[in-house]
Amino acid sequence: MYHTDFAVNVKNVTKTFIQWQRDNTGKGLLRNLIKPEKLKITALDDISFSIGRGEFVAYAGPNGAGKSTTMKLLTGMLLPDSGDISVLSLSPQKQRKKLMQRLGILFGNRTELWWDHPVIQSFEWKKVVWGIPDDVYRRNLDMLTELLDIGKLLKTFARELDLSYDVLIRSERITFEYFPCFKHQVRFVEHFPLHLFTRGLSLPMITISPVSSFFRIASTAPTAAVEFPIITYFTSSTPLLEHDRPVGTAGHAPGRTFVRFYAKFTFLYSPVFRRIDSPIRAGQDTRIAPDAPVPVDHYDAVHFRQCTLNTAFDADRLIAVAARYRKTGL
Amino acid sequence: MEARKKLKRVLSLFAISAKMDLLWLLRDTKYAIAAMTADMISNISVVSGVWLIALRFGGIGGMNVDEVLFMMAYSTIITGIFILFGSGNNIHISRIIGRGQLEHLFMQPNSLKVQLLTSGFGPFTGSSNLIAGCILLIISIIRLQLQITVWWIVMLVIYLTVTMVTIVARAYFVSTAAFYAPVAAEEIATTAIEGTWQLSTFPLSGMPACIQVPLLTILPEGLMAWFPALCLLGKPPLGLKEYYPFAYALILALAAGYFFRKGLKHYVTKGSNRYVPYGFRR
Repeated sequence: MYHTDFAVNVKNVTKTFIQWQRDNTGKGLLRNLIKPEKLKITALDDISFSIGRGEFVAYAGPNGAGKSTTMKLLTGMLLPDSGDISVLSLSPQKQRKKLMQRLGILFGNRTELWWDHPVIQSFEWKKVVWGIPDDVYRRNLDMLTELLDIGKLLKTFARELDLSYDVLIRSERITFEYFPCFKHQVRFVEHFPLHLFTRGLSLPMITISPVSSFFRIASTAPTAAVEFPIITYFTSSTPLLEHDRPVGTAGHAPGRTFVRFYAKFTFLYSPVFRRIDSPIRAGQDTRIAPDAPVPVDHYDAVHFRQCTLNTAFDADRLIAVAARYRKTGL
Repeated sequence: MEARKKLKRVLSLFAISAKMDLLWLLRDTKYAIAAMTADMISNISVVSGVWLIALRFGGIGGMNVDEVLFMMAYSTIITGIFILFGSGNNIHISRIIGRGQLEHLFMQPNSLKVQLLTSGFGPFTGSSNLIAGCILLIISIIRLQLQITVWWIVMLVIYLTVTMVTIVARAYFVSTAAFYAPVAAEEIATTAIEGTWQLSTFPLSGMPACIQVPLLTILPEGLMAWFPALCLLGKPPLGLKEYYPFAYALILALAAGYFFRKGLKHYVTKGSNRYVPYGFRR
């Protein structure tokens, strides 16, 4: 049974993995030979959430939180142990081909960006593989050419930008790191869902993000979901990643906790993220006045310094864009 | 209607692969020609070595020089077809599985079969061996003064197809291991395929049965060129029937299909165990 009133609907999904353990002692090696020790990892534990059409959702969590696992389940790459999943009223596990016709997904791979061809060739390849009509392809390509005048960015998005998806799932690293400055990020967020896809505002966009990139997304994406457990997590002493460079070992459990809590907290639209040591309560209005100083946390300090930021202007724009999206409780 | 739509889709996928192959060739023609020439020289060197031995000793194990040449031609054509359709790791499937790239195929709105069939098609850069093999075949046919009929040509095509099925089935069969041990088995298809090339060009005629039989059963090297070539020459060896390669290919393909599906199910159910506590492989 699949629900049709949500673009994405995940109900009581559990996913476990079996992890082989290794013991380097002589006794351990012998034991592994006879009876290897296996650890059951619960990547997702009975999670439920829904995403409506037109929502722009950031799905954040530390390494091992189960973000990618969730996305793989949403796209039919993995089967859940239990629970129901529906995307655009289709089952990713049973109707993968039909769903893939309408869904874009971008992980950290670059197999669809043909390395020994110009970028345009990858576009043409996608046109054939996805069966994109000529007029749609031409229109999207024209739009891209006009909108994305940053060569590096164009290459980064080569795999997805020529398509008219109903749902777009993307990994953050190849999204935001290539924006040279804050202004470009704003520009992208403002234009991307509105103009790039034929279905405009009905496009649900899910961005998955490890903690380091979450700040960038939260700082720039006006409708990013900011989750209370995430804040709790950041303010705890749990080691994090900093700009994709490990500053400690990220645990598994906090991520799972986040995922469990995800559906229970208010979807906030925070034009500019608050400092990490300022916990945000669920439902709290986190909008910041246009003339407020830009809150710079240590994760994004380098990033902000690289940019020449017109704070008031960009904050206005962010709020304006945010207003176009509906504020949604998840 | 649906079948026609599917066929059109498959052809369009072949066409885009061919187009990209041609564009690559035209974009860097010098390099492409050098690569193709080297490829052709390398393969002809392999078969010419065996042929020169046959020439020096007036044949090998009861096969005369021209029959050896015919077998070499068959082997070269098989290599050519392999390269023609297998330029994208789609036959070296354990690489795709072991590197976790099978997921990339799930992102496309086409069946895995169609993607694997069409993704390695390179008619412009991958046809050199096929052309060389066809030339060798014509020369050997003339020298052997074979009476070529339509039925014989049909049989040639069928034997070539059966040999290809055997190669692909074996590669997929062993590659199933990559679903369970992705790092260790990443190159297992390469090992199986390379082993095929090295042994398959040598005529097994005259060898004792204890060598011939295992190479027609446990390892199908004898079915890569030797057995089908002799069948096409009307001399099936070891008292076996002409349809033996068909039966072998069918059984191997069914076994490969069964175990591959099982491995795939394991993959989508359990995930890839390259994510292990002592380091993972992306």
